Amino acid sequence: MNSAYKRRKVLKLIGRIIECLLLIALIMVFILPFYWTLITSVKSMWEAVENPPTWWPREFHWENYATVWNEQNFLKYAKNSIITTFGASIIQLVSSTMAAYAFARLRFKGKKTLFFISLADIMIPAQVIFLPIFIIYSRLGILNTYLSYFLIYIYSGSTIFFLRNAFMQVPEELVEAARLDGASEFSIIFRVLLPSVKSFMITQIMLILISKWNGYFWIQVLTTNDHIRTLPLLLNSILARVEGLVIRYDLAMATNVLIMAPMLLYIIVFSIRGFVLALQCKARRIPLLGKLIIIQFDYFYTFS
Amino acid sequence: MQISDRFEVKKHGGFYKFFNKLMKNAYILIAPAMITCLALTIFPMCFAVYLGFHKWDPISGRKKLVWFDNFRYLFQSEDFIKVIGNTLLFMFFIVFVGLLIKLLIGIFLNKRTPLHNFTQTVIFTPHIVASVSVAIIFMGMMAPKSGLFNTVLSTFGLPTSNWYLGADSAMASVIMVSIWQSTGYGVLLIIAGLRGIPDYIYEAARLDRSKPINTFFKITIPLLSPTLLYLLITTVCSAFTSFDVIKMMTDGGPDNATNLIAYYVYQQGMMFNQYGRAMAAAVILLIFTATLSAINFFALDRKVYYQ
Repeated sequence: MNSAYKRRKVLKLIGRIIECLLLIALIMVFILPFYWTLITSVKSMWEAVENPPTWWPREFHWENYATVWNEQNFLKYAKNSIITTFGASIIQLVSSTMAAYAFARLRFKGKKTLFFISLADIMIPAQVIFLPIFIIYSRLGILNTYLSYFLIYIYSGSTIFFLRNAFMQVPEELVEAARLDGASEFSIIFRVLLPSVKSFMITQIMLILISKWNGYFWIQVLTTNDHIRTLPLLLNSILARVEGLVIRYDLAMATNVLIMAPMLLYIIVFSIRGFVLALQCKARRIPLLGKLIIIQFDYFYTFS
Repeated sequence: MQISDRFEVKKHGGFYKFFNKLMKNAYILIAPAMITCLALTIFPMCFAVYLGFHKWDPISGRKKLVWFDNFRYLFQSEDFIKVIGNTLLFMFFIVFVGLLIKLLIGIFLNKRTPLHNFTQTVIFTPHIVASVSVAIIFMGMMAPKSGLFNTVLSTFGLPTSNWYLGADSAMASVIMVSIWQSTGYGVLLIIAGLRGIPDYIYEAARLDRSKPINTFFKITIPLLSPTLLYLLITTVCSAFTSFDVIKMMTDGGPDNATNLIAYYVYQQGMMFNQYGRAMAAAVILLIFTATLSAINFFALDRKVYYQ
């Protein structure tokens, strides 16, 4: 009796140890590439391409970051990144919110047809329409301008779709009650509707900002010079710069760290916060953005 | 009544009145989105189909109606057949192998300890990092001489590989990078799906002395099927449209070994200036993705499995 109990306990302990080892292996698989980027970004030019590679930089060359910052047109690209990220995000968010509001809460002729048309870009991938758009833009003479980049983001079918579902799940009674209390349309929208879809809005804002910051395809396709090119395209030109048959991986990785910094900071802050909350026994199951994506995913099913 | 009327007028002056009117006129509200939708999505799509039936030399500007010549050219050229084969191979691996990996990790991570949560966060990280950055990271790690992968392989005495630079290993490298990046999102959705399955079903199974393997195949998988089907379709779509990693790592090379259909369209259109051929390939791409999205949208309405 006692020995069987002991054996079961030992087996359970071995199981837990194996589980922990597997978890650590999994973490390694996903963290190692980021670690590699960080250490390569502070290696010297020759150490970065050394064979075999070193696991810890012999000396820290922080000046790689200074080199990237100063020499590589970095500030221009960074400025473009910031302008395009915020500009395109705000434009997309405002126009999509307006359309989503109309589709969710107003009655008008041809609503169903128009809504169906507004889902077009879920079915039509960017890779099909980029060339016609390129031709149209070059006819209009607006290639390489911020305007050309912003224009394609005024319309986003998926954002309209998700926000419409969000607006639709606000109960009609709530709005009616506000209206009976004499609230104007302005305060109905900003004090009743928008606060009650806050989590959807935050999700959308986060996803839109991240996708614009990471955006590569449209900038690559719609630009012929570096007037509005953003940071991801800087990586191309750094990799193309070969000095004495050596690819400057150190500089590429330093740029890469700077590009990833906002997202990595976000993840680190939230995982530390989650860890602290877990220590205080307030379990936080999933990172914030992940949780919000799940909320969104659920509504995708309940309302489509 | 009078007092409140006056109050209203004071409170809602010019801007508020304008705003109220604006908010009631649906056509004005949807105008920006709808106009750009028509001008920069629907019209370009029609234009793409139109161009697919034409031969157009953008330098001299001559355009000629050639009907199905572009399509005939595509299906007779070895390159395009190879591209289609590549796309299907890529799709097969990232869909089935990727989905299997996501499912296994998702089931493994479906626990609520701090370590499990931390692992989830870590796995999710690549999803919000630019795919260009991911490509660069792996280019550094897969470099044939100074890369981490070959070093690890050679310390264990295993044969090394040229990874993304070798004709036979490039496709495998690209698939690996794509799966690595997309795992986190899928795992997240699968965990959410698993937590959505009510406990009483498992309890009933336990009372009926169901074997774990039966519980898994007869309860977990069917109840998870909406999530799995959603992931399946979005992954297939992403396989047809994946561009960033290919452009960054291999440029479709070596010898078209990693040239996928989305990159082929770009290559023909932007690099070789063959607008007609590019758009004919784009039409084929459009047929695939539109069908899949239609399935996603209309078939998924009725959830795959009801409790």
